[in-house]
Amino acid sequence: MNGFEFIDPGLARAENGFEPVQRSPLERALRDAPPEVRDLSLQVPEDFDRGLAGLQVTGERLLRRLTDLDLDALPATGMVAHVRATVLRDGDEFRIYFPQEYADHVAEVVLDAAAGLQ
Amino acid sequence: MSFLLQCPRCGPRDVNEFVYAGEVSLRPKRSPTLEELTAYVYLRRNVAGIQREWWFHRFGCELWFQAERDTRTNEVLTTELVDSNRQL
Amino acid sequence: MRLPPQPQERVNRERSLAFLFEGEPVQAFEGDTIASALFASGRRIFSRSFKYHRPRGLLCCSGHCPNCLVEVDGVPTVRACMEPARQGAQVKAQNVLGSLDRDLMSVVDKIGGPFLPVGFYYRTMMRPRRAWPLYERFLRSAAGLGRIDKHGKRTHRFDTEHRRAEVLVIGGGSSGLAAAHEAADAGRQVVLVDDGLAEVGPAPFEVLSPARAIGIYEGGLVPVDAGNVLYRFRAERIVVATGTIEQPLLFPGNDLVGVMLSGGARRLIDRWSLRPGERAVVLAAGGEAIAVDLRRAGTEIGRVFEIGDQAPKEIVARGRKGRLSSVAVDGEKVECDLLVMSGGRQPAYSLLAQAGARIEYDPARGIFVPRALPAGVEAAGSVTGERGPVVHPAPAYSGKGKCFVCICEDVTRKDVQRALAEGFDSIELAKRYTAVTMGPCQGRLCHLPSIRLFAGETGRGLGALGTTTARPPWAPVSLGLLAGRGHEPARRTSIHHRHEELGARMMWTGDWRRVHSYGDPAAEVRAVHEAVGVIDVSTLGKLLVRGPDAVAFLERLYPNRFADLRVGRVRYGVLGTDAGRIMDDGTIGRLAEEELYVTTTSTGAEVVFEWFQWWNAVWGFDVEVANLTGALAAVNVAGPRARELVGQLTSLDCSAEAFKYLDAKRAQVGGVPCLALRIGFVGELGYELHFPSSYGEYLWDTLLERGADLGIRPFGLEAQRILRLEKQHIIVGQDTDSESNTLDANMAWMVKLDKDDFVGKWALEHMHERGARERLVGFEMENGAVPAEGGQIVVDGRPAGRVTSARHSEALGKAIGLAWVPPELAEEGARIQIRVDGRLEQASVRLRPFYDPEGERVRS
Repeated sequence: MNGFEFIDPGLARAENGFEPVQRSPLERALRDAPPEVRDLSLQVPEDFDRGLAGLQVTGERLLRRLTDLDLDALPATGMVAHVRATVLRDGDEFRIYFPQEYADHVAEVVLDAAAGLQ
Repeated sequence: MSFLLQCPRCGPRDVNEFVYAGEVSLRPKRSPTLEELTAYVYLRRNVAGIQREWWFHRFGCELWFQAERDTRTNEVLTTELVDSNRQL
Repeated sequence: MRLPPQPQERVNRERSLAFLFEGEPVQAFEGDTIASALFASGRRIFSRSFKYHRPRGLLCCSGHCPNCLVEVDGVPTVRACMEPARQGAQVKAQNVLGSLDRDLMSVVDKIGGPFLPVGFYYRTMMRPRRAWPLYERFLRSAAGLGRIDKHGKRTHRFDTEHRRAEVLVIGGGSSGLAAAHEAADAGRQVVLVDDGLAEVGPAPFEVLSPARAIGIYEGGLVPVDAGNVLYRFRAERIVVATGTIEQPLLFPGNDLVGVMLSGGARRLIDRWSLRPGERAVVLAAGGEAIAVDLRRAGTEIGRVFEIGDQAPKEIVARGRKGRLSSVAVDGEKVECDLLVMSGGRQPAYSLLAQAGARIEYDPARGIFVPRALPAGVEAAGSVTGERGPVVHPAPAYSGKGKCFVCICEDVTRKDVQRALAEGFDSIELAKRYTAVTMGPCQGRLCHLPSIRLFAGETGRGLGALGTTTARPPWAPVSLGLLAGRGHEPARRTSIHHRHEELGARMMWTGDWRRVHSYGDPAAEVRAVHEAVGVIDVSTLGKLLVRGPDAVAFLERLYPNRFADLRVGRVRYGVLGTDAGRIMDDGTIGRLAEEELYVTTTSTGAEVVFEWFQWWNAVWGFDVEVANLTGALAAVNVAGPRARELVGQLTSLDCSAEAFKYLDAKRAQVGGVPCLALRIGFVGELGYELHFPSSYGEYLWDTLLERGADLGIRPFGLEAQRILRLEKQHIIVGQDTDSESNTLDANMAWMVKLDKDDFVGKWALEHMHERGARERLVGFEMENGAVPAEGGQIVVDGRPAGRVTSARHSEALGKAIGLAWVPPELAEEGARIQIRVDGRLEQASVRLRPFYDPEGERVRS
């Protein structure tokens, strides 16, 4: 059971002159992000809890600066950038989903860690 | 504190992913005397040895489970989901 | 003096460089350390000691002792003997007033002795008490070794990286390398960590060097300091191959410049091709072998004393201006400028001790050795104590003059004797009183000698005395490395950026960023009373409780009754503990037979969710709880024109008859699916809209746009606090604390003691019987002074309660607040006095809401 069952954002409708618009919580923070960090927020998979922001990070070393999860035992839910997050892996690409209210914080931590690896 | 705790669902994780909620204690079954209530609310056995205690996987699966840990060495002997039929 | 090329030398004579020392250029080769280059240039005094400011020279050349600590490019307390020489580096001396060669503070050595015995700070510089600020200033500037920039920010970047290893080998000497190769050959993933002393070449496994393991913690956690990165290793197998540490001898004059450990002298010769001295005396077991190396470097040998077999009784080293000039052994005086000594080699067991090994004294070998290693931790090589020469030096050799036990802290033999005489007769006590082992070497060069001395003075055996507890960090580590990047998690609502764009003054509520006000809280309050206001309340906890046992579950958790809560209705509830104390509050709305929507305070959401889940683990009800706190945003639209505004945005019938106070309805508002709750925290007609967070900015913009003609104003927490105070609505954690209960806090009406069982029932029954000890009441000030939170209530000159909230209300034209008072004063109109700014002000108790006491506006 998740938030989307309860109030489904998919039910938003353009009506009576109203045109609802969604905004990704990471949009502003990742505006100038390097290529290895990408916003996935408006594409969160169906079976996830809602109200999540999503972030794609490329590079295992960058992940190891963000979490102590065993990167060979993914998918898993644990602590990433000091918040609770679910991490999936596809080769050298990692997708991280976490509560959207931490969007600016996580973006700040990830971008800073990426800068440290330059 | 940095020992590893085995979450019954997620496997071994850094203890800081969890919330510790103290030793397992029995809630009175019916209306307790003031002494019994005070003991239940405020007193703990606080053993120097193997303690049965509650943990919540706050940064993971958000599951409550019980562990048996030696409070002198932080060696965790068992972790298990609780059968709620077992009275608190 | 630089020797001709040596077979193992580390310097590359093809590449020269230069750095500055105290502003003067110093020549070096690539491969030199700062110390070796300075030594080559003729420098012999490298530092001044901590307390007495005695000149000190190179002693160990392996990063253990404090004698070569300098400041490099602004970084204090760098070991010059390990730090590579770098082109253009600016190196300065520390802890000197004047220069290394002429330190004005050395007057302390000449005359300060009687004033600075061990533990002097407990006895001297205490009277007159008035003079303490002066003493303190003096002590602060005299104490310490390096200087830091008090106004410096993060000038260095330190990162933290999480790593795993199947096998982590600590120490790159021959045994460490052998263990690493063996594990790698067996197919294990191996990481080897070395502090840089060994030269580990290319290897079929990962090598981190220079890097130091800081400690061994629970769960195989080994943090490794690699300069700019802290590697947090989790290792399945840890192999400690940290070797042994050569120990000094204790005799008067043992700290003179020119006294060196044999390993230090040999390193100067082999690695940096330097002659350690012109004329040497050797004091060691196996002294002849050391003499051979010294001769090879062109040093003349004065005398070799084998301390193993011949055991001299008296050894005194003498010098001029702190530099060694002669040594007298049992009366025989030998001129020399170099004294090479060795008191044996003590296994560097610290990491093993931290891991849980037992440290025992081996009388046959005269050293402390690790035993009974815990699972997952192994020792390899000389650290096991099973190898190496056996040396049994005397605890201390007699003679006149200062005999140093701890050169880091300038603790002499006399200080140790004094401590014993004063009763500090266990080594743990003596350590803390004398400060032995507490300096930069952390006991590497003084722990064993001090225990030997202690044994000698007390007549007890070393085994009986034991060692002090080994604790991390094993090597000095920068606080910056441990601090890392310093990010602090902050939560922001999906509407946050709009608040910033409006120039809102933000504040913290727990780890949430919230709006304090948009610049004029009084105007915001006015808008809510007269037109319409909107506040972002997305931070509220939101829990969905679903299942056949949903109502029964909440009935057991709350003192309230919910069985009679009809579908589509909302109720205010207060959550309590089994001690009968208030934990949190919020609303409970019944959205369907088996579906309830629970809100909590912003900072309580996680705790309440955990609380719900825990009780369910215990009771096993057929119910599910989902935490939707972040998934849904929420805004409260409040004011007499709120109906007009919301009505424009939805096709839902918002008339007073169709949408009553405390109703809960689903609706499309501005096209966005919402849950609308008609509740009244701020005392005016209002609708709290809960909807998917990704529409936060959109719905906020829409409300402000459509409400412009109606006079809408966004309002923040400050305005909200004033509004709710006018209604005497409590804020849990502000007006209540961990001891408050629902009965005394004026909420007895919601406590249904006739229910079978609920969390806190028994305690509340007792409290009900016992009667209230204090009561939460409203008050209004007679002449407008606003008391501070926590302001004292005074009755008959005695403290009798405290103010929890107070504000000036423009709408009411007076200062109002909430306070805890004795029960006999919880009467309408009772007179109380409140301390405001040191004066006693008059106030009256009010038991009903100040504003709209009948609640007509909120129910309109």
